[in-house]
Amino acid sequence: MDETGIIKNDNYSIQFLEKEHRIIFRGTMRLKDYEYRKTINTDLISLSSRLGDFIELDVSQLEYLNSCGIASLSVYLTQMKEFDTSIRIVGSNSISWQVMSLDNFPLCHDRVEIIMQ
Amino acid sequence: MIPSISGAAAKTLMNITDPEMNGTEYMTLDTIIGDAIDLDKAYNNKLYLSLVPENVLSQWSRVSDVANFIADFYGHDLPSRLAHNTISTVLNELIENAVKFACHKGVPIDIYTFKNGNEFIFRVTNTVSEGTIDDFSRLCSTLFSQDLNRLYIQRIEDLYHNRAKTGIGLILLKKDYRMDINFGFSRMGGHLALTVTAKIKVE
Repeated sequence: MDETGIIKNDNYSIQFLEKEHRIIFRGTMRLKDYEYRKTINTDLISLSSRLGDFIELDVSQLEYLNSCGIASLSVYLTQMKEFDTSIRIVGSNSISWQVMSLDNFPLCHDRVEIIMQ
Repeated sequence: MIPSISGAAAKTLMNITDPEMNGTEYMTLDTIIGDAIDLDKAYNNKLYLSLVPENVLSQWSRVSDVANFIADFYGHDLPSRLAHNTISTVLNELIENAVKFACHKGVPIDIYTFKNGNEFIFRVTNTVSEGTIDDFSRLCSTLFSQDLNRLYIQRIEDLYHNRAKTGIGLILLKKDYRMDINFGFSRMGGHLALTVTAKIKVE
C-alpha cells in the first residue's frame, strides 16, 4: 500500500479511506488464487481490523472479478463475521458479476447489506 | 481411463458435426455428463480460437484479453452493455479453468463460441490427467445433485479453514448465471481431454 492508502497494479486499485471506514475497488481483478490470498485474505483483512465495527466496501467501479476473487471476498466476509464487523457493499447494476453474484455474500455473513446503484 | 458415470444426463459416443463448417467433425465426446445442450440448432455466428496454456501461464492477463476480445467481437449486436460484461465474465471463467487444469501445457486449448440471437454456447477443450477426470467426476456428482447455495457455503468454509477445493467457478456459473453446463471426456491426439460446454441467454 502506498502513502495515499492505495494498493494497485496495472489493472486494479483498492483504496482505503480509514476515517470514512470505506474501501473502494476499481478496475479488473482477475488474479490467480495465491495472489488473492495475499491481497484480500491477508492485506485486506489486516487493514480492515483497523476500521472498527463497520466497513463499506464500494465495488461499483470493479468491472470484473473472477470466481477466485468472489471466493476470496467471501472468505474475507467470513473473517469479518468473526470480527463482528457490519459490512455494507455498494454495487452496480451494470456489472455482471455484481448483478449475478453479490447475493452470495450475505450467505457468508448475516450482517452484510447490499446497495445496488 | 474415461469414466462410465451415472447420474445427471450421461450419453456416450456423441459425434457433433457442423454442416456449415464443411461437415468438419470438431469433437467426438466419449462420455457427456450434465445438462443437454443442442448444438444442432442454427448458430449463425461462430468463432474459434486456440491458445497454448504455457503462453497464458506466463502472462495471466491474456485470459482476460481473450475473454474481452470475444465479447468485443460480438459486442456490435448484443442487447446491452451488461450482456457484453456477462460474455466476458463467463468466458474468462471457462478459459481460466481450461488453462489451470490443462495436463499438457504445450497442447492448445480449443475455444468455440456459437451465437444465435441472444443465445450463446461456449465450448472449451483442454487436456486432462486421469486424476483431473476423477476430480471432475466428483464435482459433477455434486454440481447436479446438491443444493448449490449450500455447496457454495461448504466450499467457502473449506477455503476459510485452508481445506482448498476447486470448482467455485463452475458452481457460480451454474448457480448464479443459471447456465446449462455439461462435461465431455474424450481422447484427443493420444491425450485425455475434457470439453466443457455451457449455454447462456443474455439480456
